[in-house]
Amino acid sequence: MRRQVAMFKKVLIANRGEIACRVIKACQEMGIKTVAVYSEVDEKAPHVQLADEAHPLGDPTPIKSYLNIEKIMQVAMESGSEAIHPGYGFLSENANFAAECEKNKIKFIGPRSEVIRKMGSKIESKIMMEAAGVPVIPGFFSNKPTTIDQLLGKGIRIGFPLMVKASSGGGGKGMRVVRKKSELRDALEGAQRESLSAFGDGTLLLEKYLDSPRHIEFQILADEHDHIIHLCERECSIQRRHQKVIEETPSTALSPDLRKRMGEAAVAVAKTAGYTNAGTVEFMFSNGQFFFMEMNTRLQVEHPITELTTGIDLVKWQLRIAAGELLTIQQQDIQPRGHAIECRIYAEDPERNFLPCTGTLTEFVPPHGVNVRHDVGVSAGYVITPHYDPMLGKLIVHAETRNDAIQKMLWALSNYVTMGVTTNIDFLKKVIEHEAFRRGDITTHFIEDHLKEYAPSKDRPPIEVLVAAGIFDELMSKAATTGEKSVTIDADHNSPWTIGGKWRIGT
Amino acid sequence: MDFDYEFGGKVYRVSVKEDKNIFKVSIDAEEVPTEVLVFNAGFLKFTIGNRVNKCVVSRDKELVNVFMDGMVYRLKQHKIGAPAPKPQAEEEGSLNSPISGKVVKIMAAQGDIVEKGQDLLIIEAMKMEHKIKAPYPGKVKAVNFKVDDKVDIGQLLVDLERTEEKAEAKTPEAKK
Repeated sequence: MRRQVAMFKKVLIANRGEIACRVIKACQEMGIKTVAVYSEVDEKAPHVQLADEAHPLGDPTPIKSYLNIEKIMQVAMESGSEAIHPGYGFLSENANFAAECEKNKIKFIGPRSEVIRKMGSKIESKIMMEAAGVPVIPGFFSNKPTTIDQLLGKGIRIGFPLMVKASSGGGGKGMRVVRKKSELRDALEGAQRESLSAFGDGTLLLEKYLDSPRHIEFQILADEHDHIIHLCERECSIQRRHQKVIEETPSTALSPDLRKRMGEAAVAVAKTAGYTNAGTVEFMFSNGQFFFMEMNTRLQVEHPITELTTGIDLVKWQLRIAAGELLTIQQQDIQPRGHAIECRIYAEDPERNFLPCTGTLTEFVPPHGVNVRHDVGVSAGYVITPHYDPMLGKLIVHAETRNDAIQKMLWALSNYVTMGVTTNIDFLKKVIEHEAFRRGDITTHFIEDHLKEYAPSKDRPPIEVLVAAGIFDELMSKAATTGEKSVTIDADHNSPWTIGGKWRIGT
Repeated sequence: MDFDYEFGGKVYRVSVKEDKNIFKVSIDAEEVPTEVLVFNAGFLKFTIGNRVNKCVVSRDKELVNVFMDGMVYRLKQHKIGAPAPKPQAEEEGSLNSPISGKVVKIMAAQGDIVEKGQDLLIIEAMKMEHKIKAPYPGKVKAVNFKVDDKVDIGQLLVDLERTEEKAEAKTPEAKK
């Protein structure tokens, strides 16, 4: 029986892009009114259009808009929002923001501020988990202030290669791999600067660099009445520049016994931390051993793959748990089914070291199909600015077996139309169809090992492409001479493509 | 009509003659029998022999973008008869900003003599840092931005006067 507690009537979503849309839709399904916030450049963004009301934050610089605690709190109070969902990124792991919510009697949808503070520090959390008997990666982590010079000394003692990490970091920001002594100072300074700029904290830690590691994380749900479960793992080893690109579940590396042990360790981590709401425990996995890396005290970008295999809506549970409901799912109820894969579609150029691309999306038609999910925060005509993360959306598939999921993903990527801005879609296809990926033989070095030399072919394009361009130009120039606005040919009346006016020409 | 499209540094000549949806297309004088089944606002379905092809085509100034099988091909249209493009010299990095963002650190000043590959400045965009390195050895004539300045993609960041490389100059071809 679900305990009768009052659900929120109005929730503010302190985020943008696909995750804001995802949360707004969950609220709408539950009959909760939604409040969006937006910066100047997002005035027409999909999340603004979806929400019941929207409030401007002004200047697009994150620190003045989506990271502006004061302004967002003001909007929350003036709009009568009872709770705030922070999404991921931005303020989602900001303990000060959660504390500010608590002070103003607005429910922060996530754990308590002191838990965020403890777990948000990679250093604090490692010290705590080591004490609780959870294995951690060897290295240097201290909660006493440490200078760059001291870190240099510690780093030399750990040996190379090693990892420099920002204690408050995430998403690859403030993180560096250092292969030799001469690169260490530069890396420490760069990581500190990046971390100060992104998180307002320059504390660093050092970790031994594990040999061919995998990044495997466990999803946690914990209610506010001491009930904690895990929802199995997500394999997130396919990364570039320490940022995940492809995630899947289950992991090909885990036996049922390992899954059980890691799941129990993840629950122990959450319990030790006094964790509530949805969270993720990240482990490094190397040669059959696992090490606690950090806990993400928020909803993850890759949460949909867990939703597809477990059939559980994590965002709705976040809302219910925050409202004080009991988590009615027991551990033995979690029986994942099939295999799910997610690809993050980025506006970036894999040929130019994955540099983010800006510009207007002139065409944007994602694929539709059986068990193909697309979480998206952009649409055709959308302008991608340099202010925010260049992720366009997440393509997620679910199938009975891993091989079926791979085939489905290849189909979906092949039918994902984007124009105007370079994307990583072709690159994602190359990863998914790689023999080593198909074998499940993956580590966090996969892209470096197998696709470092990736470049789209410079050879003659397929003959069909040149023919298509020629026909297009011939028809368009004919239309121009006759003064017609457009030309339409339909010699194939059975084609579903002729129905509806989905395709437009960008002038 | 004839069209010249550049892709990957080469130019391809496509000739098209139409007669009631039957298109006589040839590519570099090689004939390709084609029939257009559907053309509707950029969506194009056509056959080559017995094979049915579907794609989306759009134009962005002189670029023709063709989406087919998950790939977007960017063909650059050339004026008929224009000389073939010169192969571009491959340089390690560029002095033009690779991205729109903000300058966070400057490591070179006017008058500095820098070596090839030396760090000049750091641009931050979307919270990631991008290092701009000297593509060739030279003398810094001007640094065009200050810390915290906004830069747009393609803007010249540093005015760097090339000094002669001691080693023999590489030909652009040799790198490939």
